[in-house]
Amino acid sequence: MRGDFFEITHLQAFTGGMPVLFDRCCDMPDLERRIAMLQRSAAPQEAAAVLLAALAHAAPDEETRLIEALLATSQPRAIAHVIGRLHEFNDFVRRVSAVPPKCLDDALTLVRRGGGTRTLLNAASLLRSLAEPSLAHHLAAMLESHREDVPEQAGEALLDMFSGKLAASGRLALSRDGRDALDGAIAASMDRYRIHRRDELLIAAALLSASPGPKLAAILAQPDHPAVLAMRRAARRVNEPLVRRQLIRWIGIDQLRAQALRCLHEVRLPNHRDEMLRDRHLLLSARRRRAMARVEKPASCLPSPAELMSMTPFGQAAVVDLMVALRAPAGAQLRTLRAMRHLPSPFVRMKAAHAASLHVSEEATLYEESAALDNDSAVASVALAGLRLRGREINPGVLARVERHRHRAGARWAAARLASSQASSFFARWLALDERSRLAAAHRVMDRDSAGMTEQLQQRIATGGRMEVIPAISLARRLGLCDVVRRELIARANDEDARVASAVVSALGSLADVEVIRVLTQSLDHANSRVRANAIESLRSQNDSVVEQMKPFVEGRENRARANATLMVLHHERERGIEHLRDMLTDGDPLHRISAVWAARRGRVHEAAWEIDRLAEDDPLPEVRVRAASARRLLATHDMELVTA
Amino acid sequence: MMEMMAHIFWPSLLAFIGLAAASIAIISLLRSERAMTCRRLEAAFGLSGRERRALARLSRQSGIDRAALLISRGCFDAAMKRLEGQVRNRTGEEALRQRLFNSETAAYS
Repeated sequence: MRGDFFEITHLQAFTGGMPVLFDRCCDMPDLERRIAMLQRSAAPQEAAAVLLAALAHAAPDEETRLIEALLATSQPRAIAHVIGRLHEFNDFVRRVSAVPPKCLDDALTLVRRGGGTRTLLNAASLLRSLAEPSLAHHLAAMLESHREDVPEQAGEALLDMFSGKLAASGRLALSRDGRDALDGAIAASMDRYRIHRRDELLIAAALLSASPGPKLAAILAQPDHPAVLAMRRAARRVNEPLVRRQLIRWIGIDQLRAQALRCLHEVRLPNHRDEMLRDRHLLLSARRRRAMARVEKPASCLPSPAELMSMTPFGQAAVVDLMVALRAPAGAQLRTLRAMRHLPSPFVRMKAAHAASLHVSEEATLYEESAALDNDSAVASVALAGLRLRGREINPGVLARVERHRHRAGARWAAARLASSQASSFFARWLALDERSRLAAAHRVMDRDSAGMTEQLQQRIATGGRMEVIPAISLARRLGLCDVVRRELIARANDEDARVASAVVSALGSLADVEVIRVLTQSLDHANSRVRANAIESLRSQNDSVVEQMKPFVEGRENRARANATLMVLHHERERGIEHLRDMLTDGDPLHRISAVWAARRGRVHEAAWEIDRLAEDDPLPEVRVRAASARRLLATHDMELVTA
Repeated sequence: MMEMMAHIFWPSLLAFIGLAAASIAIISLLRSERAMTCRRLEAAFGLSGRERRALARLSRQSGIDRAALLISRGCFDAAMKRLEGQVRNRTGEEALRQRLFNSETAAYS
């Protein structure tokens, strides 16, 4: 603002309430102020008329500001004028966008009624950038314009509006009002297709036909409608990206299905296939899958190895889905799968391995066997899963290679599979197997070669080192072969290695004869406390002649042996055993109290419940309290079961 | 004949006159609105009676809206240019231009 000014309030009466701002003594206002004064002194409609008159002869440096003022009036006539000059003032597109939609709608109506070619082109361009569905009917109306280039521009703008509103799911991401507006605009134009014959409208209608509104649905329901016939023809133009991208979707739409199925094989170029398979998730739909069975030339829909290599990994992975959905001939499918075997993307190889598992041929098995040796563990896993599902005998040579492969899970599986074949093979790798796989494999070998298995077990228990003999004894126990290896077990009962001796003593507990009792009784004097404790535990189920021998252990200071001995006494003389247990529960050594809680729990000694309660509440050691509380709960549950019974 | 006059001519004539009167009223209303806006602007700019008359003359002779002449320098210059060769004495208009847009560049000369 230039200069100072002052108000002469008493003159306001002569100016219709407007303050008199400028007098001869001060500078006149600049354009900004003059416009502000106009906006204050006149109604918007009147101000717009004055501004339009001013804009007709305005100096170049005044035009921008005058247009801004025109837009501020929000008068349709003013906005229509601005639209007519948008090609001169590109910066105003955004400002025009900010005008309320209703005013813009009225302005565009004025433009359509009386605008020249340039104005209409400006309007189409504006609508394209706005992408406002409620204004789509203007574009639809412009399709019928006889002015040069206007129908083309309007058609492209209309199509842009649709393709820009398509969400990732391929459906229109619009509000209900927006959807209704588009539906109305497209339906009206489809009805007048014979007049304008714009292909862009057909593609837009085809895009919308995935979820048409009521008006468009009514037109689509007429198979002989000229626009519907033309739309079907347009759906075969696979050279147009918008058509290619929608082909998979259209397979699910009744009106366009036949055309889409007929031209699917015409999409040949790798990048075109990529575009077409962009919506590969749609192939999972059951309706589309059923329709895919009617595709023309299904084998031609699959890419050659060279074409496959030129596709993006996403497209390559989608080819697998396409192949499965197409139900192409098995030979063509396997040819494509073989080509995929050498693709760099592990995801694609994995999908190919999975697809191969759906085939039952020998060639597919060979494919999976080679895929099981893939450097990527995920691919190898999928191939191995496929091989497993086949349930057929796998070539031992392949298994041996998989066993040496760096894929750990696969190697373990192959080792377990090889170990299950025969006893020699089992004992060649049994220590490398985890306990579960080892037991499963041992059971299978027992079914096939029990003699060999028994012989090998006896040999290992008799002569094996500690690393072998302990697992062998454990396996014999699990397989119920202790009786068979009884002689070898007794021979190693006095082994120098305490761990071997304790394993033997534990295993002998399942046998009951004089010699075994003799060996176990001897073990009561073993130097190692663990062996002694195990011997007492093994002797528990034997006759009561050994109870008297428990006295030193019951009164001894080895907690494990004492607990086992107490359990044995409980087993044969319950009253005496309970007394010993109470003594142990009140022992000063926390280890003895913990072992006593274990024994009470194991022997279900409800008579010691009070002592256990005391421990659970008052014991100074938290671990004892926790174990006592746990034992108390178990005994309480047992009580309940007894009552229920 | 008289009957036809009574049933057709007079009602049509009355309707025509009524329509014309309504149109005139609307137009005069709009004009008065425009004139009011213009008067308000002139008063706000503090124009004297002579200056107002010069502005009205310029508007009438150039055919450019009076309020627009007050708003845009380009309009004023365009109006002055239209008067070139037609009106010899433009002193009043030039003085008015000098006062309205005194610090802005003249473009009509």
